[in-house]
Amino acid sequence: MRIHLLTPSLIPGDAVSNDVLGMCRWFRRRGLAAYAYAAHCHAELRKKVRPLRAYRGYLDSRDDILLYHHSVGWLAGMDLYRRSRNRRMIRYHNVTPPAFYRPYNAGYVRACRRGIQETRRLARSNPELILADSEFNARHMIACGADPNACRTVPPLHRIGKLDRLPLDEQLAARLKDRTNLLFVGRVTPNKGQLHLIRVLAYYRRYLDGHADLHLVGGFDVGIPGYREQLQAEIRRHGLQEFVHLTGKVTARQLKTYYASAAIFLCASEHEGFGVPLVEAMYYGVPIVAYGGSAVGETLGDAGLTWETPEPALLAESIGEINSCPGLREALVQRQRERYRRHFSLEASERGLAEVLGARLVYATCLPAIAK
Amino acid sequence: MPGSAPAIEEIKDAILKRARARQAAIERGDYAVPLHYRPLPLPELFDLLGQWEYRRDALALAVPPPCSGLAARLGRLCKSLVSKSLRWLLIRQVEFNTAAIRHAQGLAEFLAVVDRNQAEFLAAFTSLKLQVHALAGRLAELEHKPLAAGQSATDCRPCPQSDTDHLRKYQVYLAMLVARESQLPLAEGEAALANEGRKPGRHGSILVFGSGHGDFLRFLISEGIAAQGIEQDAGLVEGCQERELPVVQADFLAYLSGIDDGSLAGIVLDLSHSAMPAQELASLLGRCWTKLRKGAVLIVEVDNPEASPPRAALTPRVPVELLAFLLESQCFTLIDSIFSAPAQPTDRPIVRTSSDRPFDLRQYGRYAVAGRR
Repeated sequence: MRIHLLTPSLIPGDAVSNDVLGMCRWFRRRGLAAYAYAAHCHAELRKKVRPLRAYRGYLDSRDDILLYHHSVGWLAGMDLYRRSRNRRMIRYHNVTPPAFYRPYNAGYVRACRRGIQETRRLARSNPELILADSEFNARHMIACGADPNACRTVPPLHRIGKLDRLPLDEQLAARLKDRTNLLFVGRVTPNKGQLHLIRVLAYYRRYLDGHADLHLVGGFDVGIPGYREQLQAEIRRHGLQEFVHLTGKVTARQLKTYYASAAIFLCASEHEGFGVPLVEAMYYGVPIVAYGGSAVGETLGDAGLTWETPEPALLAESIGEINSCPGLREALVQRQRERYRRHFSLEASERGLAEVLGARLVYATCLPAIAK
Repeated sequence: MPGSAPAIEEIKDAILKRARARQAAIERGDYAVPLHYRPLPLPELFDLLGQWEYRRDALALAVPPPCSGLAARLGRLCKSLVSKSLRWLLIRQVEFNTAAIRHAQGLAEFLAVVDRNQAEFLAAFTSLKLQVHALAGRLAELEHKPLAAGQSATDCRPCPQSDTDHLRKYQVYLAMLVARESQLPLAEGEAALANEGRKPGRHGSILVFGSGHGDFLRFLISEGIAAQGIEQDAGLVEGCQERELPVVQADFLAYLSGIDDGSLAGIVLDLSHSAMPAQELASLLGRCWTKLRKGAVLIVEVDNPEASPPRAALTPRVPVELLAFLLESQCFTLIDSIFSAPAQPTDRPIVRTSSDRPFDLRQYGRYAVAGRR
């Protein structure tokens, strides 16, 4: 029996990619032959993944398992899924609603609409198992017609602990030292709500006389330059050019340095399937203030300060409260670490995978050679 | 959690109270509403110009030093000819591109003018339709209304239409704005709702709070826009229902709480007859935000407290800057501010802040601010 994991692309630092590779490693540690396939792959990960065409040779095998990672519209992937005779399972990461891209890129809107249509087709294709990142995602699948008995929730696997081995970027750490750093980690896309965060900072600086810098860490999407321009216009409008930093994609060392230097992790995402950066913030002991819409509230639980709207006044006052009350900061950090340990650590996620998949897998005694 | 630290819910309540108190202070004017203007600094402008000069001479700089020998000189001559040819070609290309861009800009401006004219024509045509409809209604009323004692038919003169004309043009503009900005294709709307695990709500796509006599609601429906009116005055509700308009009597906040989050395509709030302080207004706007779909539009209409002379004793006063601030503080992105009901008949009937033409807002009795979620 082999496990085939399909995903449209593999990019270092991407949550879906980390989940795919993490699952691959988990299957192999249990003596199973697991292969990841992607249509597009970053050069760093070429050795860990096979090209998509390599999967065609296994389409008719009824003993193998196909684990299809769905997060975006993907015609080639859906074609392979439809033709596959493997035992089919779906890993659902959620598709961004097209309304977020409407003002910026009509092509993205079409891609998201296609993704939503494919979600419905996948849900109604009677897969053996649907693994959702969160209950929010599981509810989506059920609303799209999936069998509730086939849906399970397992948090995505991640590589947070890998950053522990890396030293801090000293130059960056020196720049961030002695400042109140508000941090958000996530791609610069409309659903991540960076616009709200800029307004929060403006409110905090103007009405609470707070001194803080906002670091928006995350890669830019070249397909939506209009959103980046909108962010920059908003920054200029509030006169925050020296206090808001759009860093773009950063290295792992720099990411670790940002977390180490952050006073508060701010999140105003209007749509998230899970929110891996929230888990990273929990791990690094950065108190979280967030808008609890979509899956964010569920991921945080009662471990952070979450609100029903991304109203700048509420988020800014929360920042002020945490900064002025060390007892609250310690309490939040402790709650977050406990929540991470119990629900989102790698061990906890792998335990969840084992509980869900254990009965469905046949354990091999040895790992067959991986043919190239 | 340590015993000395209060519970998260208590902290959140304290934060909420503090935020509302600060909002009240902002309403009182304790904080100035920010206005930022940053022109491009001159050093930055000169730096940009300097870079252009450098790039223009880049090819001229790519000339190797002179060297002796016939072969070397011939080689140098060939390279020089090639670089000059390339330079000539690139300059011609840049000139062509510039001309093409200018042509495209001109074409775009022309198309924009055509589009604006088309919109104006459509608005005027719709306004004409409404006037015909209203005149027909008045005619029917007059035919059925008995004359009072001592009154002759010639005493019945129609009311001055100028205020009504302005109001209609304003309503037409607002209806076009909400229809253009909020309308989603049906398939996308259903798909978006299905993705969020909800069915399309039983409520209309556009809610009109404070529908009054229902004129605006009727206009929206006549344009094919699904709309629902909500009014607190029982008499007005009865009048609208007699005219077969979909209006219900309800409190605004209570009605909103019965609607699914993210299900509405637009909301129009007419607050000219409700005395709502800024704090309550902020919480109503926040509730509207949660009920609107992503990209949907909220329009808030109020009487202009800065109008000279004031239309009524307004309590509380909501100037346009405060309303814009409240909308932004509840996470809306401002689209436009529209002023109407001019004091002088010679003034323009509708003015918008997005049109960049200067105007005196004190000359207008009513305004609306549109924001997008």
